[in-house]
Amino acid sequence: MSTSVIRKSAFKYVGFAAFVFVFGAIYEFFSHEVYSNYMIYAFVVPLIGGLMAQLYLWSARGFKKKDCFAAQILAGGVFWLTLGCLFQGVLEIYGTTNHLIWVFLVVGLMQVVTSIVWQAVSLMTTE
Amino acid sequence: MKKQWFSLLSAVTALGFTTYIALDTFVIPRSYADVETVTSSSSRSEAASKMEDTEADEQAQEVLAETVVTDTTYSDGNISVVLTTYREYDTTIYVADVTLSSAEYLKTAFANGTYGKNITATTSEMAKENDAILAVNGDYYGVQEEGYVIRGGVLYRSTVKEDAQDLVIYADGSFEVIYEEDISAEELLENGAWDVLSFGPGLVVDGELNVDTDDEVDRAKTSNPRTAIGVIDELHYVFVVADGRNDESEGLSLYQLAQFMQELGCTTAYNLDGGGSSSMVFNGVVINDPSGSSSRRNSSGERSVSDIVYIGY
Repeated sequence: MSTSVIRKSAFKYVGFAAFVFVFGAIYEFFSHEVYSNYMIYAFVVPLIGGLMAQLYLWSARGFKKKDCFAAQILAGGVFWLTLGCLFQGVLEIYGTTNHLIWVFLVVGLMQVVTSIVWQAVSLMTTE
Repeated sequence: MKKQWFSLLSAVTALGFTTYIALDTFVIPRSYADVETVTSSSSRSEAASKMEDTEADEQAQEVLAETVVTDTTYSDGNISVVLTTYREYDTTIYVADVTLSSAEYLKTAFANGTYGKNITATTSEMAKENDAILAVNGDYYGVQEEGYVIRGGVLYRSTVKEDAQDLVIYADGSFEVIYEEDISAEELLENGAWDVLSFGPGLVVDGELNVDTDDEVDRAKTSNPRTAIGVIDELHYVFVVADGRNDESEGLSLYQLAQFMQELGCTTAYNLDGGGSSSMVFNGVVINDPSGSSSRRNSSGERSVSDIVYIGY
């Protein structure tokens, strides 16, 4: 895994977090001071995800492969969780609920956990 | 691109699901019951007569006097409405003082006469459809998945919403504020509940303020447009709508609204859906200045909502 790939991944996550932060700020600005922590702090999810991705890529930097499948799975999970946070924020600010909101959490966490397991197995088998 | 097929597939799936859940929440109409096909097993007067110590009339009375209508008043012998505009807390507040000869003239209605999700209409549209003399927006039950919905003596939803304070309008026209966790919807029906509104909180209970200065609806923190309903005496009610979110009116906090309702003489007063939903219609005219931003608005600025509380025949 090359350093440029690791750096590129970091930029993607930071860029996504910045987008989510700006989106949340604009949404809150027009929400008549009705606040939702899910909306305000949604950007934290891609930041944490980005840190995990960095760990994956650094730990796999000795691999001959140019991509890291665990990082792909992680990216999907982070996207689901971030979207779930934003949508929960929209629901709270509007003052409503939806019984399907749990799907974001379950699908997102499943992918994050799968990525951790995948990375662990990859590291062990490569050794 | 080829290397990232999984993350791309996951992202596209997530966006697709988000689109679906957004449509499910805000757009796709779902009808659960038509009011015309679901009727109460007993009339309001029969339900009132079952209640202990009731003094409600057993039948709706005929119009007793000539109907007199002005821009701010309505009177026909059975129904008297006097509209007054107040200016308090840097806010314009509209108060309709209502006196009835029978509780049967205090009514509620669903948008399009249908109980369901994302079935909405403006307060003025519903007022026109039901020939309402006076109408305000209701509890917007359609945006909630929990909370009792009883209308016209019919139970539509019995799922308990945690910490929810409901306004019970009994068949004899009396008001009570209850916690859903304390009593089931079925028990309320047995006790003579005719309409139950689930928004809240109760503003005045037994003549005393029921909110503190730091109480607010969910996550709302500031002054807002408000809608409230209160009872002063037997068959004597006030419907109150406060403007807000514009240059002329700051809006009211819940505490200010509760104080105002208490000053009007309410023994029981209850907060209905506010913000952009707040709307009062008198003789077909929107009285207040509905405000806020929403796609669900007509040219007069009214937001489409699920239901109204109104006075009419």
